[in-house]
Formats: sequence, structure tokens, C-alpha cells
Amino acid sequence: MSPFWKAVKTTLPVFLAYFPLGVVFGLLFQQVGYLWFLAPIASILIFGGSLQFLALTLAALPVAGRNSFYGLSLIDRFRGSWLRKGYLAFGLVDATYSLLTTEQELEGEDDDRFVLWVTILNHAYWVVGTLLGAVLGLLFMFNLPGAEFVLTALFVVLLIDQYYKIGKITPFLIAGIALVLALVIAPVHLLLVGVGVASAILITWEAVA
Amino acid sequence: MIWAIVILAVMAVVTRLLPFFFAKQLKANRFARRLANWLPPIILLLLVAHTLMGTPVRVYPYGLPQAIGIAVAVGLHLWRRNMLLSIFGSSGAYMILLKCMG
Repeated sequence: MSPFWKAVKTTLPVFLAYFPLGVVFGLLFQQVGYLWFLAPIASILIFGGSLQFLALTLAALPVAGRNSFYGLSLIDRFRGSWLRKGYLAFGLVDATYSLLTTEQELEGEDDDRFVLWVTILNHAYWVVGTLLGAVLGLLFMFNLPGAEFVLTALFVVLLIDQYYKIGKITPFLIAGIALVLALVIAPVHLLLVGVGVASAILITWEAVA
Repeated sequence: MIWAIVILAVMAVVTRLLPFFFAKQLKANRFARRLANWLPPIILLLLVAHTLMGTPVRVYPYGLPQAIGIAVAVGLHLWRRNMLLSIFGSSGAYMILLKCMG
């Protein structure tokens, strides 16, 4: 299978989650009173996945910080010019990060193509969805109750695959502790606080061991 | 709004590019390497929780569709390890449960 088709197959669940989400974003965007054609532009330029809904209230800035952790795991696989690296880093949303770190890495240039296609496809699903939502406007209400669960299921499945890949229980225990603490400390910023707590545990671990 | 989009776009690129500016130092650091390898499962568990944050657990149906949906996803995946089957099987089950219990 060519890197492109492997990327298409891998991102299929993301298509089914991001496309309807993009449509909803496009619809919501107008209801808050912004011009319709700014919705797809926002999706092309910001691209935050589900995070982007916060852009509607301009509360996205502190939350966007979690994405700066994502690049850390992919430093070796994002190669080439700064322009290429810049786009890959820009497109590193939750779903793209999860897929790239869990799926088996390909060899050499095939992996470069695979990484780029996964990023482009996920971005495209979102932008095209937003465009459709913006154009449809209020003519049709796109409503498929429960479709958002595809994302939950995707993350659950990738979590299990991570166990097969790493083969150690320790990171999962740390994740569990970080999750409980983040829920206690600041459930609104679950991801940012959770990653912070997990890093703190790891630092302590390194210092003691 | 145009300026808000531009500012957010710049922020998005800068925050996401941050680790790449320090690639050399990070690769040489033992702690950064371990963090890089262990972050995916940590972030994935947090993402699972994040997608479930709005679930009302104190009122009917007590988050049961979500709990059963996840159980189906885990069961299917341990059984066949087929990503598409696990995701669409569990999402289908979830949507049916939502309709029946709602």
C-alpha cells in the first residue's frame, strides 16, 4: 500500500469525526454573528480541531498551549525544510498527534510522505466540513446525535495500541494519577494540567531513580 | 474578527513549533527522550477523559451509553485488534443506546 492510501485508511475515523464537527463549526460561526466566509478561513489558518470552538469566544489562547508538548514526540519524524516542519507542526492537532505516535512508522521517505498526508488529510476534512457548514448556513441543520463518540472511541483504541507498542504499564499508571489529579485541580484545563502533572511525576522519577 | 484569526493563527504555529527550535538540546536530554516516548499514552488517556467531560453522570441515563460504548470499543479491540471495526462497532452501539435510552 502506498503511503498516501495508508494515510487515507488511517485517517478514515478522523474524517467521520472532523467532517461533521467542521460543519457544526461553520454553522455556529455565523450564528455568533461573523461573516460566513471567515469560517473556512479560520479553519485553514487556526485549525484547532474541536479546540477551535473556543476561538468563537477567544478563550483558546491558554488552552492552545498543550499543543506545544505534541512536537516533542515527533522531533525525529518531522524532517526537511522549516516550511515543511512549520506546516506539520501547525497541523499537529489531537487526532493527528494520536495517529502519528501510535501507527507503525514507515521506512525513510515513505514515512515522510505518510506523515505529510495524514496531516494534510485531517486538515482538509476539517476545512471542507467548515466550508460546507458555512455555505449551508441555516438551510439545513446537520444533526447526527452521537457522532461525536467516534473521537472517544478513536482515542480509546489508540490508547490500547499504545500499550501493545510500549509494553510497559508505568506510563499508563502515571497517566491515571495525572488524570485524577487534573480532575481535582482544574477539570476545565484537564489536558494542560494533566500533562503538567505527568511531567512533574516524570521529573521526580528521574531524580529518584 | 479578522485580527483575532490572524493572532490565533500565529500563536498556533509558534506554540506548535516550539519543540523543534530546541530539537538538538531535547534529543540529547534523557528526561526529554523519556517524556517524548511516554507522552502519547498520557495524552491519549487525558483526551478520552476530555471528550467525556460534558457527560451528566448524576441524572438518567447516568453516563451508561458512554460507559457501554467504551466497553464495546475495548472488547472489540482486544478481540480483533481491527481499528475500524472497534471504532465503528462501538460508535454504532453508542448511537443506538443514545436513541433507546434518551
